[in-house]
Amino acid sequence: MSKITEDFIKFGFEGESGLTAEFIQKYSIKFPKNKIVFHEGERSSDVYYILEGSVFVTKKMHDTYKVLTYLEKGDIFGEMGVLEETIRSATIITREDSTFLKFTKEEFKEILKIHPRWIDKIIQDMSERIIKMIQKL
Amino acid sequence: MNFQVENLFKDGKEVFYERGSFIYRKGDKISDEAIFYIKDGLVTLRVNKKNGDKIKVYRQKGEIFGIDESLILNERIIDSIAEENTIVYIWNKTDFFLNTSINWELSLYSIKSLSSFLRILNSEFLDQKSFSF
Repeated sequence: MSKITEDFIKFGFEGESGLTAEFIQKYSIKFPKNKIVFHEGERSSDVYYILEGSVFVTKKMHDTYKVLTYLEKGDIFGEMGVLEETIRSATIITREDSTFLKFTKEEFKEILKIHPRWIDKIIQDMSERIIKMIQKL
Repeated sequence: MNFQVENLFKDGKEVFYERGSFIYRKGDKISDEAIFYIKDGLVTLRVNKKNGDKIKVYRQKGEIFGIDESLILNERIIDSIAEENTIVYIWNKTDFFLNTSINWELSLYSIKSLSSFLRILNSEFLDQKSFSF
């Protein structure tokens, strides 16, 4: 497990406003537009926070990827598989050039424990996604 | 079943639902008593699609339901039916969300419940937009 630094705790408490240049350099990862971040069915190991850009959440159907929804700056993805300790439920494709903060499962769980804002955000975001999907069905 | 979570829910109201009865219906107002923990039995969450089809999601002993709608909406958009004789603990949503902020086990339990529902809906719902590589 990686060492939990002061920067890490600051991000946990303050969110993006608590980000430092060193923290961004250590945890950020850039993807160009239309790149797959991870595939449905893969083992879940990391969680991503969208710092810049946006992604499509997709399901592969034959040779195409059908779009379920999209996520944008400030959203988190990859958390479902990690917290459920199961495989990825969707394929994530960048909608534009994007930058993410990438955390291991252990790091992500530490962030969740630092401040209740993260738990509240995940429960709120998941609930909104469920309601939107039901309303569209 | 998670005993720590069940112990928390024991503070809620215990209610028995006979097999086949509605726990709530689409359109019901969501009161403060909105979060359900299944002490015993089996519950179907039924989503009624616009084309008349129904999606059934089962929740069994030790599972929670009702979180998503009560957090976002004022009224139910799905049906909840006791598939067997069922006993639930009903929890006040204000207390529930206060506890998810401070209780790691409950938080994780709630997220897993939402996540499993989302997985089922993901497999049902596909938009028109698509990519080819």
